Amino acid sequence: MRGVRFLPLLILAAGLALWAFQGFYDVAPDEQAIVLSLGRYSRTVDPGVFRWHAPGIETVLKQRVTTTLREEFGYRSKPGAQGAEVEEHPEEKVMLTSDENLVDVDFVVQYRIGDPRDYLLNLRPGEREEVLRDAARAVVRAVVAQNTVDQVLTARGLIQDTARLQLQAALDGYGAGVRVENIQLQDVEAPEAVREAFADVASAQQDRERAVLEAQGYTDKVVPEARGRSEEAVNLAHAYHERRILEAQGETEGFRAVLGEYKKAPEVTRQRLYLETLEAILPRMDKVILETGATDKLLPYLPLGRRLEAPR
Amino acid sequence: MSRWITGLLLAAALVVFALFCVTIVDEREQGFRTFWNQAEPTLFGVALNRPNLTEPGWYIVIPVVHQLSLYPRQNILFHSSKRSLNTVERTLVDADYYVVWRISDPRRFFEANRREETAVQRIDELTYSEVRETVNKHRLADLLSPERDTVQQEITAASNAKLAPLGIHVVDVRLGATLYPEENLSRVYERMRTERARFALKFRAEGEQQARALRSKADGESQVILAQAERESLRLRGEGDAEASRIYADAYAGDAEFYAFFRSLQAYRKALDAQTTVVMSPRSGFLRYLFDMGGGAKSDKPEK
Repeated sequence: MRGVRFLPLLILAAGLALWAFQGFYDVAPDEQAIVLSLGRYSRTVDPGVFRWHAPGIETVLKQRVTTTLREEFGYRSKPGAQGAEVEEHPEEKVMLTSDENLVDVDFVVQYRIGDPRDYLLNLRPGEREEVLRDAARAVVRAVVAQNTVDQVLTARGLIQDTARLQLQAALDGYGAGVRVENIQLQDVEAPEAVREAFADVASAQQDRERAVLEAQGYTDKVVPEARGRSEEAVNLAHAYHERRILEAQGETEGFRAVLGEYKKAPEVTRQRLYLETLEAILPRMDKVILETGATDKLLPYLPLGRRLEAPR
Repeated sequence: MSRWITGLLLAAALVVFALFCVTIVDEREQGFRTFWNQAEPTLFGVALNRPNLTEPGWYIVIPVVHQLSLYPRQNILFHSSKRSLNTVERTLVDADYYVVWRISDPRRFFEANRREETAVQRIDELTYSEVRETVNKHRLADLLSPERDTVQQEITAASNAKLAPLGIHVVDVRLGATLYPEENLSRVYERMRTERARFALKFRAEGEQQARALRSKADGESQVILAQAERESLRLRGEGDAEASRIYADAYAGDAEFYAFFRSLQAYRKALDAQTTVVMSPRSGFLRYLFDMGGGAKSDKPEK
């Protein structure tokens, strides 16, 4: 009889125990959980085992938060494929720049779930990626649209940073609970149809640099050459200067010496010098000896200005 | 004993009924509750129902008496299809856009749309007309500049004004792709090519210009260097000559007559060679002893 009396209490206790037991849950190391209490957000739970909530009153929502997620634009990596294998989506690439040119831009957005509460509660489960994709697409295009095609082709770092900040701001506005780690522009290039023209501009720039370098090379060659020639001329002039003076000194010293001798015995020396000279020069010349009076008669017959060819 | 059990069962039944009368609306939801299909019925001036359940929590919804429509409280994405837009300068642009919106007033939403699909259709129509009109007021250049944000904010504000009566709040409207229509692309590419060709020409011409400048500068510099060297060497040579003549003058001034004699002899040695024919008189100084041992009178130098 005593047992029957306590039966309802026993059933109650068993029911309570069952209810309490159902309240245990684990949060895996890569997860966080949020708990809604009577529908209202109550707390965020970090990883651990034997966490407890009140079933029926509280709801637990778990979310993986540690993995970095990525969304690709302009291409898709094939799942399971190695590295370079991608599927192109050219229609996602084409963008307008501020100078109304077109440019092809591939990019990838990497993000994490920053706040599971916002992530789970503020956007619908099926739309979270789509919101991120649409926002990233709009933001990157807006940023590209503010730059000229040349800026887009060269200053991709700046575009990445600006786009990341703007995308983060937009997503915060939607309470997406997402932290954008980075936006990486992959291939940034002129559209296929005009790529050649762009390449030609690049080579024109190189041509310009080459022309300048060549001209500098010319300068480096011509100016030293001129300096060399100038030094040569000046050196030769110096040498001429010295030589003339030395020659003059030499000649005059010789003269002075002879003059000294001459002064001692003028007549004899004069005679000697005269005879020595004639002795030196006459042997090699043709000579005709004529009586003084005969000169007038014979002179017309002498072939002047031409060598006498009389055999000797 | 049996009274006990009866009491207990009664209590349990009450609890179960009470549970049926309570509905939990969580953070992701909001509801519109009516009382006998009336939003705000009154009894002797006392309000019997609060229709808008916008905050999460538990609410009494008695079966049959109350009717509850649950709606999402989250932000909802609407993505437009591709639209053809005209800018103020009549440039055709293909664009799409997206709208992030949420239900701000469940009662109005219920009354105006009842179902989400109806609302989405209205959002599509209304935002499209706002996008079209706003873009039509701006130049394409505005969309391709920081102005784009302003344009988007204008669209958002205008859409909000139109959709607020329907219980809809527009969080954000953004333009996605803005592109030239397919059929205009070839002209755009042609223009881009022309522009690039101009750049290429300009760069090459610049290179030519700079190269010419550098080369002519180098040539000029070397000419100046050579001219300076010319001047210097002419000066040096002149000075040498001057110094030499001074030395000669100094030396020969001593005895001008002897100098003339001595120098003439030297000149003869050089000037008269084997090509020369001399006609000599036996009476010349050199030959005066040739036919006359006594040496006769003095005579002239040899003549040519």
